[in-house]
Amino acid sequence: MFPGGPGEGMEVVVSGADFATEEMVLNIGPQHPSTHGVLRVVITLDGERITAAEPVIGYMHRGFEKLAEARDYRQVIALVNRHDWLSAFGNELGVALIVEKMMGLEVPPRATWIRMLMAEWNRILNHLMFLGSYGLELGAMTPMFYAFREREEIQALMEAATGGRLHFTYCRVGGLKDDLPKGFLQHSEKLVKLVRHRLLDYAGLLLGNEIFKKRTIGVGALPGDVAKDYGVTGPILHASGVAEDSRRTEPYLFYDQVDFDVPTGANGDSFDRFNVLYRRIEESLKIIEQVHGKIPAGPIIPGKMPKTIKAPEGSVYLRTENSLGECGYFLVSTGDKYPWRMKMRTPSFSNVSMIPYLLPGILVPDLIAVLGSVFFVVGDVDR
Amino acid sequence: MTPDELVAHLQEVDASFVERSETAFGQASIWLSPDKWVACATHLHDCGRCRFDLFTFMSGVDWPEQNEIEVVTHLYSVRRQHHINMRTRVARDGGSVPTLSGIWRGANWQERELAELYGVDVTGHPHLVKLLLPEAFEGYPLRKDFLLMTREVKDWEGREEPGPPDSSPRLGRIPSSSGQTPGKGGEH
Repeated sequence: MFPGGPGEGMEVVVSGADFATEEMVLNIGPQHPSTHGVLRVVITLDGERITAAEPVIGYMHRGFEKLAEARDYRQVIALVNRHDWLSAFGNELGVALIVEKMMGLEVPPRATWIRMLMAEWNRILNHLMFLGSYGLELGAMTPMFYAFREREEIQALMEAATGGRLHFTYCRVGGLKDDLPKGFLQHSEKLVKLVRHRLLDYAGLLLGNEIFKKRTIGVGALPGDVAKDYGVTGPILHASGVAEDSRRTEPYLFYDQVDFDVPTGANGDSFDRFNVLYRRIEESLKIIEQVHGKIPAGPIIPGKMPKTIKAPEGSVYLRTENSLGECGYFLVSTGDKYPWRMKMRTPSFSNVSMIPYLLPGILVPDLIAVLGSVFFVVGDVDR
Repeated sequence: MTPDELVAHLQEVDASFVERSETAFGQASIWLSPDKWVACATHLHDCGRCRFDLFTFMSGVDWPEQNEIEVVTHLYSVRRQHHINMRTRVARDGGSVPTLSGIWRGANWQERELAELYGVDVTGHPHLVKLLLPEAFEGYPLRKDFLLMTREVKDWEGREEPGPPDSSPRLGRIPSSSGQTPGKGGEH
C-alpha cells in the first residue's frame, strides 16, 4: 500500500548507464497519407527520437526517360505532363523551351505571355494542394476543403483554355495548341481577386493558429548550405534563406518584364517552408495581374513550322522554376526526331534526397510535420 | 564568369581538367578523364571564382557505337550564377567513375541512379544499392540495347530502333527463382 495519492511514495530507480533502450526500426509508408503517393521511409528509433532515416523510393518508377527516347517531341510534351502531375504545365513548358532553344525558334509574344499566365496559375494550383494537405496532416480539416474549393475554380479556368484538368498538353514546340477562349481574361481577372481574398482564410486558419505555430516553428530546420549541397531548390531552398529562383536569376519567358518578389524564410524550419509557399501564391497572383494587361494580339504559333520537329545535334540543359523547384531537362539530340537522351531533373527527387539529413534528431510526432513540409510529388521523385 | 572564361580558368589551373571543351547554346562543357574527376570537382567546389555550390544532377548518355557511356554532371553556382557540364567517357563494360558524394551530398542518390540505370560502377560510394529499381532487377534499362518492354512483347513496324525483339537477351525481368514479386517487396 502506498501512502498518499496514487504513485506517491513509489520508488523509481533510473540508473543512467543500464537504462538503455533497444533500437527499433519503423516503416513509414509506402501507403501513408502524408507521403502524397508511395514513398517509404525506414526510420530507426531510440525511444521516441529518430536516429536515422532512409527513404525508399521507386514504387512509382515508370521509366519516363527510357520512354522519351522512343517518342517524338510532340509526344514527349504529353509524356512529361505526367511526372509531376500537380504542375503539368510547368513540365511541358520546360520541354517546349529546350527544343525551341536548340532549334533557335522565335516564339510569338502572345504565346509567351499566355504561357506565363498558365504557368503561374498552375503554380497556384500546386501550392494550394500543399497548403491544404499540410493542414490536414497536422489535424486541421478545413484548409483542405478550402483549398479544393479554390482549386476547382482554377481548374475550370484552365480547362476552358486547354481542355484538360490535370494533364493540359497545351504547349507545342513553337507556341501553343489553341488561343485563349473568349472571356478568358475577364474570368481570370475575377479569379485573381477571389483567390487573393480567400487566401486570408488560410492565413487565419493556419499561419496565425497557435497550435499550428507550436507544431512547426523550429521543427526540422534546414540550413541553406546543406540545402544547396543536396541540390534542393524551390520553396524549400527559399525558406532556408537562399533566394535562388531562375525566374529572377536567369529569366526565361518574359519574367524580366514583370515585378515580383522571391519570398524567403530566415530559419528554414517547417513554418518557414509553409510560409514561403503561402507567399509564393501572392507573388504569382501579382504576376498574373501584370500579365493580363500585356498580352498582345497576334499569332500563337509561328506560321512556318516544320512538319516533323527535329532538334539539331548537340546537348544542353535548360531549367525552369517549376512549382516545387528547379525542373530542368538535359536533352541530347543526334538530329533525329526522337531525343537520343532526355534526362529529367526533377525538383522532388533532390528535395527528397535531403530527408536523411532532416529527420534524425526529431521526435516521431514531429515526423509528419517535417515530412509534409518537404513538399514533393512521388511521381516527380520516381519518374 | 562567362562559359569561355570558365573554361579558360580551368585550363589555367590544370590543363588536364580540360581535355576537350565546347560551348553550345550558351553553356560550357568540359570533358576530362575519370582520373581527374574528383580533383576537378573539388576545384570547382572550393575555388572562390568557381564556387559551384548547387549540385544539379548527374546522369549518363549511352553511345553504343563508340562502346562508351558518357557521364554528365551539371553544376550551378548560386553565388556566381554560372553553369558547367562536367563530362567524362567510360567503357560500357566495367567502366567506373569515382564518387563525388564526399564533395556534394546530393551526388549520393544521383550516383546510385547512374549505377543502376547505366551499369557504371561508382568507386568509393558509401551505399551503392539500387535506388529506383527492385533489388533483383537484371540489366541496365537506359542502355540502348535494353529494349522497351512493349517492343520486346510485340515488334512494332513503325520503328526498328533499338533493334528487333529477338536480338538481345531478355533483360529487365525479375528471375522467378528468386521468389520475389515485382516491386520493392519487403516488410512493410
